[in-house]
Amino acid sequence: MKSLVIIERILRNRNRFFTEIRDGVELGEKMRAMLVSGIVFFALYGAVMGSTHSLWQVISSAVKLPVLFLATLVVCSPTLYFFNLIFGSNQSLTQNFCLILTAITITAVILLSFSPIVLFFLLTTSQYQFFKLLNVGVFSVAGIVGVRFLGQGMRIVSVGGHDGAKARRNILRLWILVYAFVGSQMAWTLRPFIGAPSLEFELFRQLGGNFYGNVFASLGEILGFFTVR
Amino acid sequence: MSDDIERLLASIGSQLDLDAELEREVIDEIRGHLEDAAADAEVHGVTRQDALAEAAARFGVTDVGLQLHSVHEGQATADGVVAASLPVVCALVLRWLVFSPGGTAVNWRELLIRPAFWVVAGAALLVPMLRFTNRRYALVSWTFFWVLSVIFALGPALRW
Repeated sequence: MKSLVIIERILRNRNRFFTEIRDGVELGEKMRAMLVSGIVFFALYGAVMGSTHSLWQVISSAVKLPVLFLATLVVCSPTLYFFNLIFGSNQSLTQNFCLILTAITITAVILLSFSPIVLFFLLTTSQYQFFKLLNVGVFSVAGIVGVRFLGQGMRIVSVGGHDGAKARRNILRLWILVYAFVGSQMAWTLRPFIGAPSLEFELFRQLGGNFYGNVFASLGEILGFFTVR
Repeated sequence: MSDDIERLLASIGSQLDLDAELEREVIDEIRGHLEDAAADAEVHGVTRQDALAEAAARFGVTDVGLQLHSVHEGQATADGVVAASLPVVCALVLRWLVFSPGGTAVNWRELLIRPAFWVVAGAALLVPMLRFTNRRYALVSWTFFWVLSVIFALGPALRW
């Protein structure tokens, strides 16, 4: 229940939540609550994605989706922290981590809210490529909402920092791009999440190709240009 | 007089940060308590205004607002999580753990004697019934669970 209280506070009164992060109020408790709820929500969405294929794929996706976001968080946090520090931020690493975790938690909440819709489409469409692109769209929307929260949080938490606010804003924009690239590459590395219907279950596929090429290929098949193998 | 109560309630309400429906229920409950306290005091010869003032002081506006907020905070999110996830989770459990491995309910007569089937179907109804104050939401959630489960069993999409 504590996790849900924290989520409600983020959604309903984000100014108060970010102010508490700025003042260092119960950061550990906040992070624990966000981690727990984030992992559960990602796992549920992962299970929905994997349910196109097999029970093993359901379990695998339910485990891999939280790992994907947490690994991206761990990989990207230090970059944001050190660049902010160079440009006059007075935030601690924990505060930085907490802010990014907030963005990831919001992404998880949005994904959870989309899970009935995605399951409905899974049951009523027979096109694997469409389902894949639908998920890319859902993740994009959820990710954008998440990083908007991060932007708002950074503004509030950075109040009182040294000079360089404009530079820090630009760094945040660049960091968001890096975060998206790292996230998509991480997703490609950990694939499959849905599981191609013609292939047997595999925990991980062989490396090769990239996320963006595959999305364009799926678009091409849906529009009738070629068939993805 | 009722202006006094409304002012008091407004100041408690300003400290609550809950969804509108829940906030109204809480405020209505406090209004009931305040009016009962005032009526009791009037029976004992205290004027209504004094009775209200005493009841309001006894309540302690700040404390009551904060306490009510902490008691109810998170409930709206919990409702949302149950509404979004329970039908989905129950449909997935039926699909992968109760239906036949092919995802169909071909031997549906056999399903009816499996306790797991009734446990999942019961949980899909009981949890929202206990969770939501408005029982109709629970029925909508249960219906959605059955729609998903029936399409799972009959639909061709899972055999891409």
